[in-house]
Amino acid sequence: MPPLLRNVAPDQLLAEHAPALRNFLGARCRDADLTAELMQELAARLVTAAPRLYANGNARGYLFRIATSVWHDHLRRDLVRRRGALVLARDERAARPPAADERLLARELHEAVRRAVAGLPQAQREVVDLRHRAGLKFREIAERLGRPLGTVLTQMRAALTAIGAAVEDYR
Amino acid sequence: MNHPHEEQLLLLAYDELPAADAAGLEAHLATCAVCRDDLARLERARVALDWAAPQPRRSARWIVAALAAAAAVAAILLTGRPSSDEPPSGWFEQRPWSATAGYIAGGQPLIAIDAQLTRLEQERSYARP
Repeated sequence: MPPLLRNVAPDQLLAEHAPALRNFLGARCRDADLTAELMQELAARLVTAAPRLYANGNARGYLFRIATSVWHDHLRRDLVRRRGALVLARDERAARPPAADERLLARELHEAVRRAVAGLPQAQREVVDLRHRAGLKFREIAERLGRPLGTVLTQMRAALTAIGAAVEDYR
Repeated sequence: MNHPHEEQLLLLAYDELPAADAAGLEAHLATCAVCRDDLARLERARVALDWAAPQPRRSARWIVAALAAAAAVAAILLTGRPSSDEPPSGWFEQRPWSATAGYIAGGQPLIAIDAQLTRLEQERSYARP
């Protein structure tokens, strides 16, 4: 096991890579305030994660993994918020009191994704399964299924488009 | 403006693009709203899938597999046939989780299997002369 990065303070590490991390997050959300908010979240996680930092020559990679995780968590919250807006609009149209709490929204979102996956062509579903449940890389999936990598990527992209359409439905 | 191939955006969304290619693509994203939107769509769908099918940590996979195998063996031993509670064929069915019973294979709690095993043990010992 590589030695711990005992001499590198998290704030020092963050300061060193802050511009690149800000670009990474800023390029995705295109919102200066949100980028600042996500950077703060990243800094907080880095402090928590500091004991697990290893001097494996890729501290930068580790930081970007945290940034990716922060971004994905934001997207997840965003999905639930959008679901909330849809349900609220639906309830207003039906003159019902708004009843959806976050847990219910999350469950509905889960169900929407599950239905969308179930409706995929089998070839796409196999790729999604191996990527998201078995955790295989695309190259490994191509080998496992005996398909060209390009075909696997095209199938995954088509699957994501279908899932995305199901998710975007409740905008 | 030369847009990257759509396969590259997909690989970026899944962190499978080689670092050198990723750096070039990140630079492109900083100036291209079309590709940013495309990437955002892919990432939202990825996150939704990740959420719907939580991926077991690689390091813990063998534990899950061992527990599932043990539960399946126990179910066969107890019923004399494969469990009728087959894992759902549907995608991403949420598996129940119990803090006390641990991972549940085929929808049957390990704690219930354990209770049945205990009962069988007791019955066997009572049956002995």
